[in-house]
Amino acid sequence: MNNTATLLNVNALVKTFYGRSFWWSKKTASYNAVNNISFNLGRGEILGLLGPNGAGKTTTIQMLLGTMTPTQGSIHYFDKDFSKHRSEILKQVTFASTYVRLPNKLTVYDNLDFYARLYGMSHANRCSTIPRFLKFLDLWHLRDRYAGLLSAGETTRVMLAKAFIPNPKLVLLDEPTASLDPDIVHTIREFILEQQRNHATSLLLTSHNMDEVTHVCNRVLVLKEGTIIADNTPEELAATVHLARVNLLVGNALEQTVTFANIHALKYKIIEHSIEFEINEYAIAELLINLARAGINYTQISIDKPTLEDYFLQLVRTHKKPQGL
Amino acid sequence: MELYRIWALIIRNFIVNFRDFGRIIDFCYWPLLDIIVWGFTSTWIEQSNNNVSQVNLILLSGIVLWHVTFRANFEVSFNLLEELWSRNIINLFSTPLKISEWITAVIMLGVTNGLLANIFGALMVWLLYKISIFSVGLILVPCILSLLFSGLAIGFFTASLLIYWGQKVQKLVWALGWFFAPFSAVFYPLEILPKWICVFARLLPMTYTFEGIRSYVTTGVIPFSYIITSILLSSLYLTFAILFFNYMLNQSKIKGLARLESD
Repeated sequence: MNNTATLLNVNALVKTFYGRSFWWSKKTASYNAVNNISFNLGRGEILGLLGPNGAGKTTTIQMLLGTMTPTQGSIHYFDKDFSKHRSEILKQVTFASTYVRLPNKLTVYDNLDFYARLYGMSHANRCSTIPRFLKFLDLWHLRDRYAGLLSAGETTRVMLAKAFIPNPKLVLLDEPTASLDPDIVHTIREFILEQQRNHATSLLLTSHNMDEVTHVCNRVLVLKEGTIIADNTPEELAATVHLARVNLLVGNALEQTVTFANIHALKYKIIEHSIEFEINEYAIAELLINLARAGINYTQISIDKPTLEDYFLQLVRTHKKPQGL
Repeated sequence: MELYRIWALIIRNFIVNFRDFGRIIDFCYWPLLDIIVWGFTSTWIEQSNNNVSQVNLILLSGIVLWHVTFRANFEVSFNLLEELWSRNIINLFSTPLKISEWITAVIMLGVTNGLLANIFGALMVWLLYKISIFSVGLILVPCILSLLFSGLAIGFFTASLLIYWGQKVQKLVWALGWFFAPFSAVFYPLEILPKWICVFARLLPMTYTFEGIRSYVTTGVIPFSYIITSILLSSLYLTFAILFFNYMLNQSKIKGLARLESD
């Protein structure tokens, strides 16, 4: 299953949570947060992990970091068993998340210097690399500020610097842009893509932001109730959805168009003087012909093709848990 | 084990300590307060024609040496608590850092700060009362070593509870540090304690250390049995405490360390 281009190989990974875990306490009802998932991640690949809350994304990331013990299954990085070579592997695998923080009483520079030391970077290397990343992420003016005084966006950028400074082969990013302003999201997204381009760094990221996943990821795994229910490129996943949105600016003909929609049992939404139909993309031509026959004129038309978000919503709403799991 | 990772942890701790005025105050304030209270108490007892010789030296060496135990314990458990407060556990334990390296680093920090606490306490006693704790003699070396081991054992035991239950049990960092003091015969002889407490007190290595020091100060005879028992017991407890910490860390990893940051 492993090959030279594979950085990460996850095989039949299971995480079961029990109510209690000590020998003196009775085990109560259990559930599988991660249910027999397997996947590979190749060199230079950006893999997105998508799923609703409770799908098992963060649990998977935790197991991949070694901060949670899997119940079953195996994790191999660079063809090495993670359970046996944890420290050696983590020299090449780093992590960043918006949900964790850094020691409050250390400055930004001291924090980055501390983590760079843990990765075995020499004094000269730290002195040249840390300022470069601080400048690149527009953090240089904050280098002497305590980590506890940073805003959420600044903290996220410091976390990203922490993750990329050791020049890792793989970075695990847990919702790197959650709850951030759009301009910061843009900066962070550009930074991630630049690192990937320049150093062929592989990335595994979880996100709720479909736009981000579409623009950044080469491949997406969709998790639901701990199971992988889809594995494909964002474009291919979106293409499986045939629902399109046709927006028509009908002006005074709005009432007539609504009657038309009701007669033809079409799903629609009124937005001021426009009406938006949600129909199968193959039925668009037929819709336009029928509108013309009904004498309904429109001055503007826009057709939105299905996106990853449409795919995600459809899949999450309709997917049933596979039998036997 | 890689020395550079241990060194990174030690350097970080010193940077935090030296920049945090509250921690410097914490390091000095409580020992100084204890030294003042017990110093005057012992002076009053000595002036009251009691039959115990060298009360001043016994009580003040007791309080100074107890702070060695407390500080060694505190450095271990508080170090972990600060990681929890900073929500830095996942960051730290998702690096190449090995648990053996973290344990070695906090032991070195505990020993260093325990010794610094001893030097500070001895200096204060000398400045305030013109009494030299070190006049007790070389017997202090194995005694301090045993007290450091005992403090580290308490620290790792507390850290074991912290790594599993997180901030819910954070009060134990301070509470357990002082919990053993009344049973360790720090200021008074073991026979003063009720018999049932004596049974518990005899299980504590600190009891033998303080009994040994008192015996040596009053008789001048080196109490080898006390010293050997205290060293053996404290080494044994420290070993068990480290093994227990490792066990609880693995138990905590079954539930996932990330949950500790959401407390």
